[in-house]
Amino acid sequence: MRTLPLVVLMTIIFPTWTSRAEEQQAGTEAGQAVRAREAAAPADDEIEKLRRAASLAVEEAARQEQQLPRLDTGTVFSSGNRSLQALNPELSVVGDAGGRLQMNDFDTASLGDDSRFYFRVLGLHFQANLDPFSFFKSAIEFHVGAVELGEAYATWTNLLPGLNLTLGKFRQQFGVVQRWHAHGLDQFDFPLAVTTLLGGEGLNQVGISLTWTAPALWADDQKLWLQVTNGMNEHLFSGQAFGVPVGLLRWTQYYELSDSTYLELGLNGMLGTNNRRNITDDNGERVDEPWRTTTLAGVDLTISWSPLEAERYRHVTLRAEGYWVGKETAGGYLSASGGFAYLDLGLSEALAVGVRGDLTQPFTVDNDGDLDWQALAYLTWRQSPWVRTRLQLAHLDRAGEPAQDVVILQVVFAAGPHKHDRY
Amino acid sequence: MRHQSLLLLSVLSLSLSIPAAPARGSDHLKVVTTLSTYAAIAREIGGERVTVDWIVNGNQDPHFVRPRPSLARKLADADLFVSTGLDLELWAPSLVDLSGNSEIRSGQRRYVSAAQGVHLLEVPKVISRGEGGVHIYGNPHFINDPLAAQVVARNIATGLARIDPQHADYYRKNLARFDAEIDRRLYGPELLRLLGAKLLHRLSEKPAALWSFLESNKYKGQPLIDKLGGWLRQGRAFRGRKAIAYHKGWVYFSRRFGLRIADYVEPRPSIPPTPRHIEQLIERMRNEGIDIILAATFYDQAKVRRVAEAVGARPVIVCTGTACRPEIKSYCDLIDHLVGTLAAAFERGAGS
Repeated sequence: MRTLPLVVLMTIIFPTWTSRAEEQQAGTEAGQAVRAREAAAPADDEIEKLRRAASLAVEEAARQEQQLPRLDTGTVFSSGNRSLQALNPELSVVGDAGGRLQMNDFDTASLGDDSRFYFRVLGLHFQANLDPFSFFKSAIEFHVGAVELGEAYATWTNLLPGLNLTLGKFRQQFGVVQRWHAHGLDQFDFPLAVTTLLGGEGLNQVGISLTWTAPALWADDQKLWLQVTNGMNEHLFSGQAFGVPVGLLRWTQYYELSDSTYLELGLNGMLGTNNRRNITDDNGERVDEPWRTTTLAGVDLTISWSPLEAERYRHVTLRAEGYWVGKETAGGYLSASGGFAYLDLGLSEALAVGVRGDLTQPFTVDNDGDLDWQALAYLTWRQSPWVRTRLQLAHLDRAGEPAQDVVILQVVFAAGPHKHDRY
Repeated sequence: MRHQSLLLLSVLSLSLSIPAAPARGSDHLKVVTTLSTYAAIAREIGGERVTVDWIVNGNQDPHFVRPRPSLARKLADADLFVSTGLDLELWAPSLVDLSGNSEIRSGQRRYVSAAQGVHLLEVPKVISRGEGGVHIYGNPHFINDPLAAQVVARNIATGLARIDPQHADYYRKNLARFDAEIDRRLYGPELLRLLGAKLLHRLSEKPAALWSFLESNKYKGQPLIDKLGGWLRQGRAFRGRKAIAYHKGWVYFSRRFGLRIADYVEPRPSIPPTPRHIEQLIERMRNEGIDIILAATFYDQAKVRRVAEAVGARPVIVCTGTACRPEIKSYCDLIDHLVGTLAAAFERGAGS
C-alpha cells in the first residue's frame, strides 16, 4: 500500500531528475572536451616558458601602472549624506525668444500684434522616476512678468495590464498638436483652430487621465484615453466656478504602412458644463446659473514617412486636425468649427521647411458666414539638437479685421536633457 | 437585464484586454533588445528556449529612433528587455512607459543592461553640451569589440538564468560556447591553444601589451606573432594605419585592432559638421595621406563621398549592427564584415 504513492511520487519527480541528469551529463562532457583540448596542447617546456613569459608581461604591464600606494595625510574625508544631488530630478531649461515684424502700415498695436522682440517663455522642466512603479514630470513657465505652472503630473504605469494612470495638471490629449508645448511645435504658434476654439492656453486642466493600450485588432496599435478634469478652461467651461467635472475620450488607431511610414487616426470627444453654480459674485450676489453644456468633437490624421536608415536626415509629415465646439451660452447656442493642415519636410540633419493652412469660424454665437484663416510658410534650421532657429512668414485674415502679414524669427534653446517624445 | 448587459460588457472588456498583458508562461521566452546585435547574441545564448526581437536594425542610428506605438507593443509582453543601459537609447524609457510592462523597467528583474561590466572608454571629465551630444557615462559604442560582446553575452545569460532558473545550465553552456567561438575567431586556434584564453584576455586588457608580447617572443624558432590567427591577424592589414571616421563610434574597435582614427567628419557628436571643419579635414587628409573614411550606413553618405572625392580617398560604408544586410545574421558575421571590409579597403588602397 505504501509503495503506490512512492511510485507516483517517483513518476512526478523522475522527469525532473532525468532532465537535470542530462544537463549534468552534457556539462560533464563539455568539461571533458575542454580538458581534452588542453591535454592535446603541447606541454613542452617551451610552452610553459611562453606562458610564464606571458604572465610576466601581464604583471609587468600592471606593475608599470601601479606603484606602491602613497598615503596623503592631508586628505579630507567627506560624507555624502548631505550631498545627494544625484537623486534630484532631471532638470532642463527651455527658452523661446525672438522677434516679429508687422509688415502692414495700419495700427496693429491696438490688436496687440505690433512689431517687437519677444521672450515667450522660459520653461523649467523636471522629471524623475518616483519609485519602481511611477514617474513624474512638471513644467514651470516663466513669462515676462508672470509665472505659471504649465504642467505637473505623476504617472503610474501598468496600473492594470495595459493601463496607465496620470494625476495632476496636464495638457489634454484632444488631437495631437494641442498636447504639445508651444516651443515644441513645428511652427511658431498653435493653429488658429486651437487658439480660437479651445482658448488661447488650450486644454490644460487638473484631473486624472487613464490611457489604455487596447487590443490592436485590425490596426497595429489602438489606444483609448479617458480624462476627467476640472472645467478650469474659462473659454469653454465654467472656469474658476467649475463644479462639474469635464470628460474627454480619445481613441487612436495606428497603422504601420511600411517600415518607414505610419498613419495615425484619432477621434476625440469632450463634454462639460459652462454655467456658474453656487458662487458669490463680486457684488456679493449668489450666482446659480441654469445648467449649460459644452460639447467638443475632433478628428485628426497624421501620415509620416522617415526612412529607417536616415531618420536623422529626412522626413515628410502631413498632419490635419478638425474640431467642432457646441456651447450653450446665456446669449444663445454657439457652434463653431475649424481645422488646419500642415506639411513638414525634413531636408537634412539641419534643415526643415513646411507650410500650414488654418481655417476656423470665430468663437461667437453669431458667426454665420464668418471665417478666420491663415496661411504660413517656415524654414527651420537646427544648429544642433538643442538650438534651433525658425523663420516664419504668415498671412492672417480674421473676419472683421484688416489682414496682417507677419515675419517671425524664433529661437528655441534647451539646456539639459529635455526632449520631446513624438513619433 | 440591464445589469446582465453591463456584466457582459465588463467581461468582454476584460477579455479584450488580455492580449495587452505580458504573455508569461509560454514555452519560449520572448527577449526584446534595443539593438539588433544584442538580439543576435541573445539568440545564441537563449538558443531554442527564446524568441528574439529588436527595435533598432543594424542599418538604423540608435541615437535617433521615433518611439512609435508599434515598438512599445513589442515590449508589452517581453519576458526580458535588453538595452545598453547608458545614455545611447534615450527614447527607450518612453517605450517602456508606453508598453505598460513594469517588470522590464530599469532595476527590475526582467531588465538587462548590456553595458554592465564593460570597461567604458572616453568617460568625459567635464560634461558640457559645448562638446556636442556627449555620452555622460562614457562611449556606448562598445559592441564592435568582440571582448565587450562576451561581457554582453554574460549579462544576457545572467538575465535569462534569473527569469528561467531551471534552464540556467543550458544558458551557461551556450555562453561558454559563445565565448569559445569569439576567442577562436579573435585570436585564431593556434595561439589560443598555445597561450589559453585566460592569459590572452589578460594580455588583451592592454592591447599594446599583447602586440608587444607576440612580436618579441618566439615559439619553436618562429615569431609568436605568426601563430596569431582570426580577426586580429586579418586586422593586421589596418593595424597602425590611419582613417577618418564619421562618428565617435569606433573607439573600442580601433583599440582592439590597432586602427588609428585620426579625426572625425562629425567632431562633436550630434552636431552637423561646419564647412570650415570639412575644409580642415580635407587639408589634414591630404597632408597626412589619409585615404580611408569610415562611416556607418546610416550617416550622411553624400557628405562622406564628397570629402572622399575631394582627396581621392575611399569611403568605407559599413554595417554597425546585425540584420543590416541579410547575410549579417550573427555576431561573428558582423565582425567578419567589419574586419573584412576594412582589411580589403586598406589592402586595395585609396580610390582604386
